[in-house]
Amino acid sequence: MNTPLLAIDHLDVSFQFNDGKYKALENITFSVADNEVVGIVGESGCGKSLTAQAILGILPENACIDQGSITFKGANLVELEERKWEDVRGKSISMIFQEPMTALNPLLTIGKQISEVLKKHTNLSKAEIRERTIAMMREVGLPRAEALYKSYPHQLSGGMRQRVVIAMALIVQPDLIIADEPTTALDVTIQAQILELFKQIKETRKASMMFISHDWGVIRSICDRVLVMYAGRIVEEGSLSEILQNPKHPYTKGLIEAIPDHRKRGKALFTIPGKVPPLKERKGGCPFTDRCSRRMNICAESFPDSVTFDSNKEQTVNCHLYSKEGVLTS
Amino acid sequence: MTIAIVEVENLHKHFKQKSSLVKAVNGVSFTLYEGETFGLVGESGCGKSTTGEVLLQLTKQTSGIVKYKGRDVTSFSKKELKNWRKDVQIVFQDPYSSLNPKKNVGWILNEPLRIHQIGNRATRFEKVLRTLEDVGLDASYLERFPHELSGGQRQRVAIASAIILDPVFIVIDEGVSALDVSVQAQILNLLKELQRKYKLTYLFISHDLNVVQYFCDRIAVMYLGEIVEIGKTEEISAAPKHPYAEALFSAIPMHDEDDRRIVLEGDLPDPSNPPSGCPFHTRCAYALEICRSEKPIARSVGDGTHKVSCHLSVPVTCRNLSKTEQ
Repeated sequence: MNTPLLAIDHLDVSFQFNDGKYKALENITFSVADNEVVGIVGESGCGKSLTAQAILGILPENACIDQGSITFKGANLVELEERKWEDVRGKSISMIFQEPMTALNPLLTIGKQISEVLKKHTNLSKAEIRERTIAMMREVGLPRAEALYKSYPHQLSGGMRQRVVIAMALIVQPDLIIADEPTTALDVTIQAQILELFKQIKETRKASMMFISHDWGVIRSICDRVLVMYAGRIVEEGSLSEILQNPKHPYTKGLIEAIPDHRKRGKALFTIPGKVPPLKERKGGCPFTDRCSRRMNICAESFPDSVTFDSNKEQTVNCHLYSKEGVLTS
Repeated sequence: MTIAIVEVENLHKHFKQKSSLVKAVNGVSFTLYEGETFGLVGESGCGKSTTGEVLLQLTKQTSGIVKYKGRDVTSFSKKELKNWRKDVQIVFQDPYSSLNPKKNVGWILNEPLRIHQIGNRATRFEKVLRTLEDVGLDASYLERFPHELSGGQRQRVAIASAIILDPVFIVIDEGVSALDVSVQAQILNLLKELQRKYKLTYLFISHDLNVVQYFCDRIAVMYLGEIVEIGKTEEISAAPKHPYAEALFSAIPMHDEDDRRIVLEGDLPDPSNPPSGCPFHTRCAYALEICRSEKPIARSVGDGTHKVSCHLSVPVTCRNLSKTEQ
């Protein structure tokens, strides 16, 4: 079997507060293969962005990795020395954030910001750097690249700023691109343009991507495989079509049913009662128990092991409703 | 019998900037009927929110008429205006910035009652409690401050403060856009329930077409300060007639069963310097010569409630053909 580009194994991350230590990520295990786009969905506060931060080694100061490993191209990032991180961050793995205005420096020109990465990570001459930067700007669909090279972020529209951020992420030809809600702050038509650009990148660059979003529409248009996260755990994993058409976990089912669309007009929308438990109020057992319409006694006692299905080995779910053989027990 | 609550005729709102004039709203007309939900959709900067603000007279129009139950709102006396303000309310996108961070929920909900001198202390308290229940919260929230609430709870408080004066008409400006899908569903259900219970009329401003299609009875699609298409939700979402509406509805990610997405080129033009003729011609795949020079006039399609402002008379599906023929 091929070794995946990125493999995360039994990763636990916790936050240290004055009153104690709280686990924010628990037993996160997944992998991203070459040229694969993996989506992570879940409500706010489920640990989607924290997972990305752990991979990039940019966890908040009061957070630490308790156990587990993050293996990227054969090296364990958890044990990496700080100075070696520079070869990974921004070079092999790049990150695209939600709000392009805050991700860009308002005082530097677009050209300077995009080429900065090249200056840092390559030995190219000034002319070559400029040439590559302009070529990159064209590739991400920025018009009049030469003129834009000297513009400042505030002179650009939201869609163009996001293209600049994408250009910054791509210019070093990373092996893995992590995009955290990259289209959430954009209008629908601009969102469509940016998603189209990501699809193009997926095809031409053969890069692997991790796409974090709470928007199923976005996940649906680009991902090959989907992880569903809830309260710091992965509760379901599978191919995009399988998750959308045949969700197993009550949480995944709820999230999909809550999406409004024209076919549900006149009917009340399905809702998941309650909210994601805050970090300090998480108990043992399955964290979804209190909000689950199908909870059983065992749910509050232990977190369920992951179950795979005979019909589809790719899909796994962590729910007591499914026994080891993947037959509904209740 | 449907009663017209708000009528808007040829509304203009222009903002003066240093050297230019931004035509944020440029001649829109529509009517809102009692108990309906009217959706206003379009990209940022198309004038949706400004339209909503003018309707509530939070900002004065440059020209045009806003009528409330048949009367021009600019003709109201000071006293009438204050009374009218009880009837019309607004819910904003981000309740965190629209709720006073230094006051607790009880105070926030009591304030409108106090301003309008409704009842006495005891009846006001009673009303606050009943309204909290209406939005699915209870007395335990009275002492809490906005920062202690989740996004969904904050939006419930914002809704409570909008309905506490028993309004007739509420503008919901991106009211669910900042919420997670599961919370969004709860708030949408709540708004529908309140609408049935109190016969409310909603102007629902949103850029999220999935939500609009689910929630609204009628839709108006705005582009650069103008309504380019208006009609019943079923008709527009099933077969949008205007090329912009067509692109907008095809761009909904959840919608692309057959992946027939139309990707519009470029951004919204500068509203201080809008294109001549049809404002959409610079991004329109079907633009003809006439589109560059002449502004299209709204014409009816179907039963007369569905109107579109476009020079093309051929149905959208045949247009690709007509384009190659040119």
